[in-house]
Amino acid sequence: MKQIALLVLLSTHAFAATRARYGGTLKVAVIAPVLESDPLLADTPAEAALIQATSTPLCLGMTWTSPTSLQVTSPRAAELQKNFVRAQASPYRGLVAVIKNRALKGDTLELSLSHPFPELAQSLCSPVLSVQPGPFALTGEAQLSAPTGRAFADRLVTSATDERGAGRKLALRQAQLVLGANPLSGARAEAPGAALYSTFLFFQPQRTGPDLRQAVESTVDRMELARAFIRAPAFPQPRLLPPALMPQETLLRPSAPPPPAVPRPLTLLYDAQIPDHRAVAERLQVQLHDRGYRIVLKALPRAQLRSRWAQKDYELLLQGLLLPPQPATAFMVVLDAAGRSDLFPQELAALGALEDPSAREARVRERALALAPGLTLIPLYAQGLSVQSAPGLVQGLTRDAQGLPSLADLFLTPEP
Amino acid sequence: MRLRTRLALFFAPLAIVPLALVVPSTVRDLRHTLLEELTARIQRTAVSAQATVQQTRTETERAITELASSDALAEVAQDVHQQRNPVGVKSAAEQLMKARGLNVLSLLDDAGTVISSGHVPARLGDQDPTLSKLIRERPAHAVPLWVEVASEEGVTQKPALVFAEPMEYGELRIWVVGGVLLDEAFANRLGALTSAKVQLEGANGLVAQAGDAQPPTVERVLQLSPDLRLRLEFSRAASIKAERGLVISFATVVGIGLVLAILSVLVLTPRLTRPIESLTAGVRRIGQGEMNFKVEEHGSGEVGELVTAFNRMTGELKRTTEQLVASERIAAWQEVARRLAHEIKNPLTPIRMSLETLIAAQKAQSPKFNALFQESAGAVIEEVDRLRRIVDEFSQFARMPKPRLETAELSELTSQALSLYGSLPEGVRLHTELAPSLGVKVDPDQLTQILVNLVKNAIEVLPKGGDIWVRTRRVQHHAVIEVEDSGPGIRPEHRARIFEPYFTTKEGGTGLGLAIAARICQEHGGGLDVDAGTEGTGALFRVRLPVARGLRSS
Repeated sequence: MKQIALLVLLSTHAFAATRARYGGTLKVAVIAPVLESDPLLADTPAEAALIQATSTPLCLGMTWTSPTSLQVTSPRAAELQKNFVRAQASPYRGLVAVIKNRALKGDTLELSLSHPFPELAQSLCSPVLSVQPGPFALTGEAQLSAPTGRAFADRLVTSATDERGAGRKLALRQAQLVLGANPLSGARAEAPGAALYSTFLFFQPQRTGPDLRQAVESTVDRMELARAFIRAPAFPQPRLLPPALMPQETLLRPSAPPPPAVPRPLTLLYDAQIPDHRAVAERLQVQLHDRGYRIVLKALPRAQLRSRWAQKDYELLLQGLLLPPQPATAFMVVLDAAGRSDLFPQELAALGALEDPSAREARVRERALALAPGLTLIPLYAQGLSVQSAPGLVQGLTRDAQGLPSLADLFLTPEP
Repeated sequence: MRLRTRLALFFAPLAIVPLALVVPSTVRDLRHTLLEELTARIQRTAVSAQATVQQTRTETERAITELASSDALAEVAQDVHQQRNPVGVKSAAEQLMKARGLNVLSLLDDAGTVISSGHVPARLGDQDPTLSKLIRERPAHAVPLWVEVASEEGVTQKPALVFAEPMEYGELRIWVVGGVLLDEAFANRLGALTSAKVQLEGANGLVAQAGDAQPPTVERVLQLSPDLRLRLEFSRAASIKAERGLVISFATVVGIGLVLAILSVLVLTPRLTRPIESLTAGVRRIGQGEMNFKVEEHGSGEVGELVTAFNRMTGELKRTTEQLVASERIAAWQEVARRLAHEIKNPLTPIRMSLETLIAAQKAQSPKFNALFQESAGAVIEEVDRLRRIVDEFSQFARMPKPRLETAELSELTSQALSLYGSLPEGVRLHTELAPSLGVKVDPDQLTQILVNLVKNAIEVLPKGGDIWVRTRRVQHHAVIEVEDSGPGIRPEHRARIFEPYFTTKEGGTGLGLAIAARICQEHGGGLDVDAGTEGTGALFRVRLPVARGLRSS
């Protein structure tokens, strides 16, 4: 009997050790100089993860009334309507490119599509379209009545730091989780998620000259870029869509074009809030210098960078996009970011005619391959989000289809 | 030129000349000294700059050598060897570079591939041809090289002092190649040390510059490498300014000296010159007849003695002049009395003879008594008339009335006087040249008397006809009337006496006409003189009268 009691007692303790517990303060350190709070700007994987923790995606409560009609019922439907409007001025307009009309009736937003587009439902799960509140309030307190359910931690505290600071925080138990860092000693690396954060080099051919694409392709080694200049997990991306969405073959490097006739300096704009982009910009600078280009680097806050992109006021511009996990939607986003929303009708029509998901994906890949050489952007690499935790402090980490961790699902291990 | 002015002109050069003699040589010496000092400073500065470059070279070599044997680098080498911590390796060069005060540092493998770079982090994995060449050649000392440097503005080539040292880790060899840029900061450092304008120049032009040198300048060039030189420019502005300042100072001293000389002349010399000026004025006034004038200014020394002697002399001159005038007056009256007696005595003799003849004839009851009585009575009456004329003219001469002056136009008066001669003797021609608007202040009657007398005399010397010219004109401050004749002229022995009373060359003349005319002219403040010319060419009498003020005279 005693043995049975002891066994039950031991199993209870063991059971207790893995059971999710409520309570505690989840402290998350993010490798970034500043953290954006606007969902349309907070599109690095780490920032998107934080946005998800403080907002609710509207892909819940959706009903297809027809292949081209979708209803979203939610007390936050009006806010979703506003987010659609705001998204028109962002690189994520392609997420909702297929929507022809919107009608708000009370808590129901009726969306009319131009063509059948089943991926739209998942597109609405994008953090850029999410609305508040989420599992945690902006002030960090857990929301008991969050639509997705209460978070395990009572409170979420986030901080922006660098890698040395992150390592120190982990060591001193000032953070249990670190997002976006290179491998830190003493930290446990969580399982990687999908690498859907693609970085592109945008360019204006009328300002850079016609040979810029060839100059870049002849000198840039994407594998070396991903390995040596960018935080892991990073993957070379020679194709329009990231490796998670389409196969990436190693492209043959073209020959170097002749140097530009007039060595006029070109300005390369990049995000001042992303250290990896600075490293990539510097690498592009020296490599294009070898091709006869003089590149001037200019760092801009993200809001200004987006504004310059929207106005096409740039010569070269380095920008990252957090692509949705669906190839068709990702394809629309990239087409629109490259300024080819004029292709939406024909591409959506072609896709709408295909019901089979595999056929749709094949069509997207085929069109991506065909259109890529003519677009005014050059894909460089794709990144996922590294998540490291202090061993034994947090458990329950899960990632969504976009590779983002669900902070609300994390629970803290009780202190011994 | 006045004495005071001459003294000023004499003392002024005394103030200027010595300085003018000294200034050029002083300025020349100063210029030479300043140039020598500048040359020496340039030499010292060039040596100092060379020493700074050498010191930088030595420090670079030491820093790279120490780094190559450091534990920090050993850790990096371990990471490279074990192909781990790529992020740490990538940033290692930048951290090591900053820690050792370098601004160029690359870690290369034996093939010259960049393992890590602090000055161009983006060159990771690339071959650096310049640094590869350096590790192949492996010079013993730091050398000037053009290295690639990346910045926000682009990728450029900049000069640097670079040294290479290998580090062995097992079979791995890592080259530590680093140094300092020869950039603006280096130029600033040199500029602060040398106080010169520092320019680093490459084959394509200016690389870095610091400091300033106001032109004009002199320069010294140090060749650091075949395509890199250091130019040091030194300003000569200070020495030129010093030189200019000296010249200005001298000029100021000269100016002050000149002013002081003039002031001293103006202030001090009056003590000397005033008595002399008073003496000069005194001489002038005594010459004009003011015998009572005395010089009041009394100087000291010789000048004072001169003034005293002058005043004593003028007093004696006055007394002597008065005595002489008195004597002359007595002599003149004696002469007049003698002549008057002579003139009176002349007619008395024929009167006496006539009466004695009549008495004798009456005693003798001569039958010619009546004829003798008529003849003798006529002779007596004639001589009595002559006596009366003599007495009348003498009375007129002795009781010459004061002229009643009034302003008149001379030519008009002259014309009026000449009109009294309505008909001239046969053969005598009268010519007039009368200047208009010639105002004089005269007694018209007395002037008429003068002109009548002169023209009468001229007519009398032309018994067989001739020409008489009457002219009026202005000569300086006098109105002049000239009466000229074409007669025989005046004999030289008579010219001096022609204006004396009772001197005459005419038969029956009283000898008072010209004397009266001369006295009238004197009373008017003028004068009467004669220009006798040569014998036989006629005589010219000239009346001078003061010009009247207020009446416009041409």
